[in-house]
Amino acid sequence: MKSIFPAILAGIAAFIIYLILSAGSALPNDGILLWSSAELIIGLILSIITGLICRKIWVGTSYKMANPLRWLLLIVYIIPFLIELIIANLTVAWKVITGRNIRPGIVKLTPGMKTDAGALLLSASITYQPGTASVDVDEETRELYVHCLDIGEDPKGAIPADKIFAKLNLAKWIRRITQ
Amino acid sequence: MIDIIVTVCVLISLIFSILGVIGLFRFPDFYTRIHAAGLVGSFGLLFMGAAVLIYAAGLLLSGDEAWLNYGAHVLLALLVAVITGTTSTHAIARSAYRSGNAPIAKNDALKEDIQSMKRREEKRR
Repeated sequence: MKSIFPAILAGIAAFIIYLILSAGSALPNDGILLWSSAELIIGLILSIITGLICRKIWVGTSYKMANPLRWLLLIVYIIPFLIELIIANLTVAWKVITGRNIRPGIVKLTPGMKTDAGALLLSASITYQPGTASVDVDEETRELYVHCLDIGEDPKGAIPADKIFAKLNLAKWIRRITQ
Repeated sequence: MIDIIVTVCVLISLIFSILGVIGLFRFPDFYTRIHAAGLVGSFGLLFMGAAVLIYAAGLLLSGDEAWLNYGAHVLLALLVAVITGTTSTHAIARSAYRSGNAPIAKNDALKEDIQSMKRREEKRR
């Protein structure tokens, strides 16, 4: 019975994706909100099958991220992330045009995250910004090795995660979401 | 009005994509080229998606039924492209480093730690 919870979560995720893809299928005389009843029934059956298939391939041990409030915070997180993304894009675009200030290097990052989800979100945020990409991760201490396009003058030792972003402290946001 | 905004979004997307491709030729080694390709994956992609979303909003204002199809599908496509793009960038960089592609770098913190990390991973298996 231990695998019932992953099955339910995977089923809900599959059902939401099915709802998004089939939105607007409502017929004039038969339909609930945006979806026709035939689509809803087929979607329900398919998502139950998906949940049953996925119940064995769950690797996590913590169900902290199943809380909907955290997902709401994750959606709000898009705003500071986009601001940071604009800065990173303009910086890298300027470096492509001028060709100056390219001092590549790999730095060690101590993320200071207590959960695996936090480390995942932090490394994904770092990789998606142009100019920084996480190359490798130490799975025990959750230390990240980040390749930067411009590491500055003389970096020494491991740097904390709060220093890697240009303007906003995204690591603090991630800690708020996942802990 | 909406046509102009959509055109501007597509133009910004094209400019960043072109800059990304130029960067692929200008930058010196594999790892710096990943950052140039990141330009295409972030702003090149996001602004193209934003153009379609704004076009869908225009359809909504003019009372066309098709706006829901455009909007929902593009939102899902953006989400999937962001997640898979990030994962594949990390996978490419990691496998390149582990297969011995040394970066041109002032400071390589991974060089000292990679051997002990591999040994610990062997032990756990």
